[in-house]
Amino acid sequence: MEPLLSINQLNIQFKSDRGIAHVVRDVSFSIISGETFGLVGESGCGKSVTSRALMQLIPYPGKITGGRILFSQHQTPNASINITNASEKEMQQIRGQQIGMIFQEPDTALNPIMRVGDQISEAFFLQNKPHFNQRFISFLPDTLKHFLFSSKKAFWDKSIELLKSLDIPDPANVVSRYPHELSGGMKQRVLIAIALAGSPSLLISDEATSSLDVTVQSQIMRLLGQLKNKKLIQSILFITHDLGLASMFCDRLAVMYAGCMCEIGDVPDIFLKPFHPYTHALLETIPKKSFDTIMKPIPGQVPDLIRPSSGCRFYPRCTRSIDQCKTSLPELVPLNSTRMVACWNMRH
Amino acid sequence: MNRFIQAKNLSLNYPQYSSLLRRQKNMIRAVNDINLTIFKGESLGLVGESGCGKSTLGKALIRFYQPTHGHIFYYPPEHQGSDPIDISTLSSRHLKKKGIRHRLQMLLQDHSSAMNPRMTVMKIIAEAIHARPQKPKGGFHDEILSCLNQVGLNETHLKRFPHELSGGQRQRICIARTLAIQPEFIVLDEPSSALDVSVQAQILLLLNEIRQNLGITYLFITHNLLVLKLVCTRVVVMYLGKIVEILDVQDLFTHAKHPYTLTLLHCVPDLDRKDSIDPPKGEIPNASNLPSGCGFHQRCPYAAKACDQYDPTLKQISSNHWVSCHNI
Repeated sequence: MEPLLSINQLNIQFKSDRGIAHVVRDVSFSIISGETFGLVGESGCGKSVTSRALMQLIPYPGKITGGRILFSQHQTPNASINITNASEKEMQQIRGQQIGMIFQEPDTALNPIMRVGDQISEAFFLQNKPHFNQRFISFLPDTLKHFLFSSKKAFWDKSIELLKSLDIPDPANVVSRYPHELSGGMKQRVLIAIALAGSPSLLISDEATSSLDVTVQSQIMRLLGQLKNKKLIQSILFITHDLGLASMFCDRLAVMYAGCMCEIGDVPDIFLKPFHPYTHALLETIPKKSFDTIMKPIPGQVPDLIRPSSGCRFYPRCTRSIDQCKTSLPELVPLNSTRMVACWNMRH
Repeated sequence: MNRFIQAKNLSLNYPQYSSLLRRQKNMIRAVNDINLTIFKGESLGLVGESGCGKSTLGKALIRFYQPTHGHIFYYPPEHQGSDPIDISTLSSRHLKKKGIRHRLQMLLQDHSSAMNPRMTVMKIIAEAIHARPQKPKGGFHDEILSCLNQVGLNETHLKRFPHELSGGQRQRICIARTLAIQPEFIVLDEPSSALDVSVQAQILLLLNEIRQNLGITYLFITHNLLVLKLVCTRVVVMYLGKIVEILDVQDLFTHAKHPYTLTLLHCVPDLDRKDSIDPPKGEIPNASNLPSGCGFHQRCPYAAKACDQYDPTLKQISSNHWVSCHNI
């Protein structure tokens, strides 16, 4: 099957006063059309930075220093674009229209001085606009944007239609409200609406539900599932730190640790039979409903990314380490048809 | 078991004012007529969705906030059987004079903003030791070190600033600071929600160990139901400023009765789950405009006629199990 997105040996570095932090190191994975791909790991493991690299949105000191991100565009099949060296002009056509993103905190991701309807209309308005016009609009004061977007009644109606499809009660009223007037779950739905406005084929959800309560979280998760069933989006890249959520929602899962990929596998299998010691340890740390054993924390801490040791990055905390782990970094190798693991101890 | 803190008909309202004339527009009823007893040495879990008033209740119980109505009785452990002290109306000066302030403490929610970024770890903890009614017998430095050792840190961390520490270490410093005042009761406001899973387990085990060693009473506020099983002995479920269910933690996943508790439990994603989640309809109502009758009746799958007319009261259904629902 043709992958929608394939990342090959991606490297991202951040410069700081203390030196260069190798935040993402030789990460490779691919997302097939129609699947939900989960990316899990602790904070600072590079999962968010990887997702931002897909949109060329890495914040300033960060830089992609190697690798390729191939994305197959849906208007022109068989032609894929390499995102790592795409120009800003090309990226404007990809952001929002081919890859949509739901950001982490609905409070900070929405503009507090723009009406919800204007923010969704803006996404419609910018579609298929030339690069110049997009730059021009981005310099407009937010308060003026209202007159620009609300004059186009078609966009306003489309926004209401979109909110309605996302189970928002009374959408005609909601579009003319400001973000602070809405609850957390509603704001998250508005963010999803903005991401869907450009009808992207890949939707990136970066911890979209981690600031929500379990009840609202389950509502949002069902909504995302429905969107995929209705074929409104082809694939979802689902970034989370909640393994329970990932197990219920994803088809395949990748586990990251300190910028390196540890393990990639199909969802029930990776939890039932984890091969990498980190996946194994991670599963033991989380509290579960149906168990009587005590949870085991992972001893030690995440390594310093500026001065990492030469060997495997999990080596200092690993219980199954061998001599080789200390000296060289393991690569991700296929174990069987579905599973890929980066560990020295697995090969013997 | 000895009673430690008892809330009687406790309510706390936040008035809202209009922007220009400062007239009172309406009232947010954050905590609404709550009766609750906390026993000495227990770890009481308090769960509910955001905005249900659980943090407000925690802060009112230790008199960070002044309650609007009702009483909070504090039973001093050294005089058992004596009359309790009503702390609901005491001023902060009187609280300090009676030696109660330092006994009731709190671990704040966000460990990165809870500490002064310009103070070193040493100063942060020294400040807390200064707040004790009795000065430490040994040297100050030794006392700071023993506080740090209690939470698994050592001398090397003394001269660091909060931003030089990892999230787990910062949370440990916050715990050390709270323990440095030598409290009897700590309100833990979401102590693990800002941490990663691997660190979360470390902190929860540490908190458990501290409680067993020092005999401190906990009120553990969280929205993560799975965490409760590890640190709590009893669980209180809150919805819209009211207690809907009180039960032992062993019974939480098996014997919970209130429809809201069941909804919460149903929505928790879990590794071993095979079934899909069927989310509840609607959202938590606005606390400034409470629905009539039971606060949950609009979202409740078992709502009957009586539910939107009469407010249910907490009823005891077994020795340690209280439910507030008409259908029980």
